[in-house]
Amino acid sequence: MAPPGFKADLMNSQRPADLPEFRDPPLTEVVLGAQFDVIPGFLTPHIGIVWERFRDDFPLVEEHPPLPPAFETFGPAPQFAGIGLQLLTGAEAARVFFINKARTELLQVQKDRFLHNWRKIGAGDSYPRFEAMLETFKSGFRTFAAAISGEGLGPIIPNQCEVTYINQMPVPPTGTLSDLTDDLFGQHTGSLALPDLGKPEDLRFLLRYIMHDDNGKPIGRLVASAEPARRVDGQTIMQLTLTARGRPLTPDESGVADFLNRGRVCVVKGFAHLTGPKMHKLWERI
Amino acid sequence: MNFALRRYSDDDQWLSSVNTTNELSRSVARPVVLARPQLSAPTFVHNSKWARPTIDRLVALASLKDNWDQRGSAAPRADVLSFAWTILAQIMPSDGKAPVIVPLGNGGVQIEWSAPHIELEVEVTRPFEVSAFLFADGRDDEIDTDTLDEMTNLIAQHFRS
Repeated sequence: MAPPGFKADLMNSQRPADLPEFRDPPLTEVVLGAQFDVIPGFLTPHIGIVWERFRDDFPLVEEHPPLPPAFETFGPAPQFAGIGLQLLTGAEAARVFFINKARTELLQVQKDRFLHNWRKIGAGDSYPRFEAMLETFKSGFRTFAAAISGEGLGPIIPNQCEVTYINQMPVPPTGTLSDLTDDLFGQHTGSLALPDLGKPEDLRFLLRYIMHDDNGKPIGRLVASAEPARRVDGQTIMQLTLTARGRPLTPDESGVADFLNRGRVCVVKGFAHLTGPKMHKLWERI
Repeated sequence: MNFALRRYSDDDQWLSSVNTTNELSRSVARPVVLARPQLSAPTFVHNSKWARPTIDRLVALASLKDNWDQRGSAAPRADVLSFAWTILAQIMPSDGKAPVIVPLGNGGVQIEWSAPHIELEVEVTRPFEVSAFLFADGRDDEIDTDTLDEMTNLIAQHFRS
């Protein structure tokens, strides 16, 4: 059974006044999450015990492969590696989605992750806004921690946090991917047309920026990537993904929430800077 | 408890970034089909001399169980081994000397490099809980681990194969 007050309490979070805002952003999915030290003794049956606490609000479940650990580290060399290593137990512990009836919101739980997603399922689904999502995440994280603690496990020690915004911009019926790319990023890319070949057919990029704490120490990264893609319905789109990932200032719920707030500011400001005025008009920038 | 090593890249070279867009989208519930062109791979590669023995050592450590030393020591933690690999992947030059990695009794690991008259020891007890010491000329100095700058420079300077 969900604890009282589990649903989002909008009064606890305020949107920063200087943050760019859009009435109709092209958002299709938002993720808020924390990665923590592996909880010793946490087994698949514990996920069922956790689900009991969320079942009223998230009655549907799905099982997925676990996410590998991800760490943002900082040094003079770029964070390159040819091999990603994931150490697995013999019986791989699952990642389980707890999904609401409308299938628009879900929680993801695995032995070292707790994530909250909102996703646009139908044209009428509107983004509940970050403040509401953060409250749902925080309430859920507390409930998850209490369930773990009730089994004599834990404590939960967060080591990384993540804010991801996925934006999907469809190619207009009368336009091309190249035109859309110009409208989105043309103010930065300038004219990439070659004298012989004309404009590029499409474009993709991945940008990484380092996030710092108040003392100038690196704590995380904002990663922005743009790629052409195709939706399930066959629509060609440009997908712009912005992820802020990094270390909480303190390894607790408060530290996680602080990083998520910082990450959200970086993501939203990054989105507003990277995209062009023509699209801002379409998305009704306030 | 059995451990296995998942390798999710096709080669052991230095050509792809850890944080690719695939990495970004892993926590996403509704992925789309990304349009990625087929490109020819370069014919030259940077074979790293340290990666294979290091992976073998991490796999061996991952197979240790609690009380592996008959003295009640905890098995090396999977998240510590993953984090240790993340650090190594960032600080090691392709011709870096493979480190010696030894388990600690608390689930952590110690990573060591040695050369005549100089040693570097890095202790990882949990993700982001790292301490490092340099022993040289009869002195021991603690190394800053807020960033990997100092470790990277020391290895490049003293521990090449």
